[in-house]
Amino acid sequence: MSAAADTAAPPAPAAAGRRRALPGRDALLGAAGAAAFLLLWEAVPRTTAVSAEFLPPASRVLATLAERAATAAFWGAVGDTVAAWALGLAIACAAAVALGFAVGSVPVLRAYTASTVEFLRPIPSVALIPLAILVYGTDLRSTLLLVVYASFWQVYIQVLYGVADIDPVAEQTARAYGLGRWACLRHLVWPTALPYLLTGVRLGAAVALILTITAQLTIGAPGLGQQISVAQSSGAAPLVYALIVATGILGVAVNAGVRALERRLLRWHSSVRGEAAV
Amino acid sequence: MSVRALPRAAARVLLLPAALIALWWWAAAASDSFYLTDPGTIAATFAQVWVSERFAADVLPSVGLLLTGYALAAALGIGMGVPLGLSPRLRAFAEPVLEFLRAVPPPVLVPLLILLVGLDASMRAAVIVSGCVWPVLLNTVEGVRAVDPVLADTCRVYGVRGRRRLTVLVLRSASPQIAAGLRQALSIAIILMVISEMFASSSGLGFAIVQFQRGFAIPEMWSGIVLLGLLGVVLSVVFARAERRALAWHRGLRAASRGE
Amino acid sequence: MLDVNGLRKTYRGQGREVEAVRDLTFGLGEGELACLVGPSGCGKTTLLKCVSGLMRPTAGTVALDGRPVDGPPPDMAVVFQEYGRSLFPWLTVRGNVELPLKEKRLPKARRRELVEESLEAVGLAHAASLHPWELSGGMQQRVAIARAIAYEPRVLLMDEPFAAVDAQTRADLEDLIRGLWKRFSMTVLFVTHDIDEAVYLGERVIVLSSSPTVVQDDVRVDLPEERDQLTTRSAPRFAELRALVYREIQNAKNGDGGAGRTGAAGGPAGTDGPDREPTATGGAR
Repeated sequence: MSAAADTAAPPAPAAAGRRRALPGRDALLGAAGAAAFLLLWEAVPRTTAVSAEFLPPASRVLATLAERAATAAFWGAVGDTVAAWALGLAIACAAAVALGFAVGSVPVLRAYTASTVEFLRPIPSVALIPLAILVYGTDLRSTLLLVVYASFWQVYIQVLYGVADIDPVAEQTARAYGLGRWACLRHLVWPTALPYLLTGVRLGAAVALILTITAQLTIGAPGLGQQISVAQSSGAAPLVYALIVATGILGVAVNAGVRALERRLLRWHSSVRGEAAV
Repeated sequence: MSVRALPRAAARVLLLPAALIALWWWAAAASDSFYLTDPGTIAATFAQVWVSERFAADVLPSVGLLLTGYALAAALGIGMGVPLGLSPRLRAFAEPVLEFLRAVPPPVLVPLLILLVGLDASMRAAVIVSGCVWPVLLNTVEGVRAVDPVLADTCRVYGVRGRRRLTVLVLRSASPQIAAGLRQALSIAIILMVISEMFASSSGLGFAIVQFQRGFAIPEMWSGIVLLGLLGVVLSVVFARAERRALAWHRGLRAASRGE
Repeated sequence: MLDVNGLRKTYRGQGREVEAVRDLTFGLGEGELACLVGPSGCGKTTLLKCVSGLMRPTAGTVALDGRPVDGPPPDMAVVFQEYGRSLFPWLTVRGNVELPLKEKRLPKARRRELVEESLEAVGLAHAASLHPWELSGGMQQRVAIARAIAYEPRVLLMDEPFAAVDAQTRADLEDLIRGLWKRFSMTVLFVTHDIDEAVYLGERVIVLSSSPTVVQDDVRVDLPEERDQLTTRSAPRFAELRALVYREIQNAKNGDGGAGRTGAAGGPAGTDGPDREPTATGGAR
């Protein structure tokens, strides 16, 4: 085994890399860790170090969350947030896949767009907030503008990497066997690029959630972010914490969902690729 | 590169940006939208607004805060990530809590920290630190976990331990992954800097841009957007340079193993 | 000086125990060059890890100069099979060789001297400032060898160090090892799965049975001190020894017992299998 083993593509899956099933002892330790965290959170506000006015104990926050979860307004806000997130991510993915495959498979296009991509990509999408407010107000489109801009680049770049990663030998083989353009795309380009695309979707999904909440906080588009902002300005500390816990749960759900999708699609992918590679 | 190839390379880099700017110009001239300002006016306004004392008053403090928060988050993330990466037991203990904390979208920390700390600069630094620390922390943990067992055995055989083991083995082999975390953290830092200023500040870049927007000073607002864009681009270029230097061995290794 | 006594190692994996090494006893004298050879999968690497103190045996002892080994001893160096992964890619060749010396707290002048001497000895004096990945596989393994020599060990362990290099390079490296062994007068334990290599290199060849592993035979290589790829390998005695070791390994695969260390061909009928007492006597010099 040589040095190639740990440095080979596909790109480093950031934090979510390999993940094995937790054996019992680890699960137990994890539960203990969570319990310790909650206990600490419960205990600190009861000491004099931090006032309970600013840091309400865990029990109070969770009670507030439970109370809140019984209201229709809360679920409306969750629905708005999820809808904006999902729609924004879907638009970004569709655009990135279409553009990425088109540009990635034509070397000239790729060469001539590289500088523009390198310039546009690092522009923080929060720079667009004032523009979004002016043009769309607190409309859903404001949120979408930020979400799509931010998550598009994550997916697009990965698709470009993926298309570039196609094995030249496999491509020549496909040509030699007279595979048509469509068959080539279906059996060679797509399977090669899929793991990259999914990495992009995973990164994009997290970014999209961040920007959805950001838009709701700053622009006031309806959703969990806007509710947090309202609760903060009325000084309702337990509610602020409760809503933050809700966004955290949403974040965990998003991460878990994308990971599950990745596992499912990549299992399918490896079998199909096995056929196509011959 | 030959002399003949030079114009071609220049065209490759400049053609599309030039075309886009021209398109923008044409669109601004053709449309009667109040919000669309042509690039010429934006450039002129940019010089007028930002090449002034405003730069020292609004831009430098923002950037300073950004870098301070980012550096603190990096130190904290690496400092906590190494022990977590080295100890499977500690990792199992902390994993569920970390999974939750990192899933909280960092911008919600802005209203929270306003409650906790108030509206001053330390709150904005705290927002940046608490939002940026997670990608650094989690990537450090993953990087430290993935230390090559043969290299670890080599260290044991040759009695390399303690601090030298940490610096020569653990941190170095985790460094590509740590760099990936730092890159994610950088874009989060910019987001947090801007929105914490938009939300809760009486100075700074984010505040200034929102002021322009509220006052319908459209060219000024555009110039602020451009400045933010430039800031993002410059920081990412500086980061890429630093990463190239620090991880030259990594690129060499990858190139070598691909050539095999 | 190196004594392995009743070494046993079992792994616990997925509910069942796997016995990698059953009962190994052998000894190495000061300044000896011994090769360990055995069928693939017979636990050679496990054995080497136990000897080097990287792994704790389930039972039995390893002792160096009478002192039990319970961690990597300070006067022992190891060359691993995976040269690409045992060198630090972020350090230069010089940095790689110098690192253990820094840990030994040697003064700078002495470190430089040792680095230069060992790099020169493996023929890489010109490559000191390159990174390992800029070198070919064989050169990388030379760096790992230079690092081991610069450490000035009394015992050098080598775990199939040439398994992943091409044949020509391999021959060069074999001669290099014999040269270094004489020049630096170390005790060398060389693990390999290649019979020719074992006979060509060793003063002694310890043949292991297949897993669960015991010592199958212990063959003294009575070839002349000066060896040469061409004349040694075509000598009749080389062919005899080679055939002997080959037969022993075939027997080992079939589960036959050892032939005794006298080296008589064939061996007794394999009625008693690998459970019998190990045949080798320790500490042969």
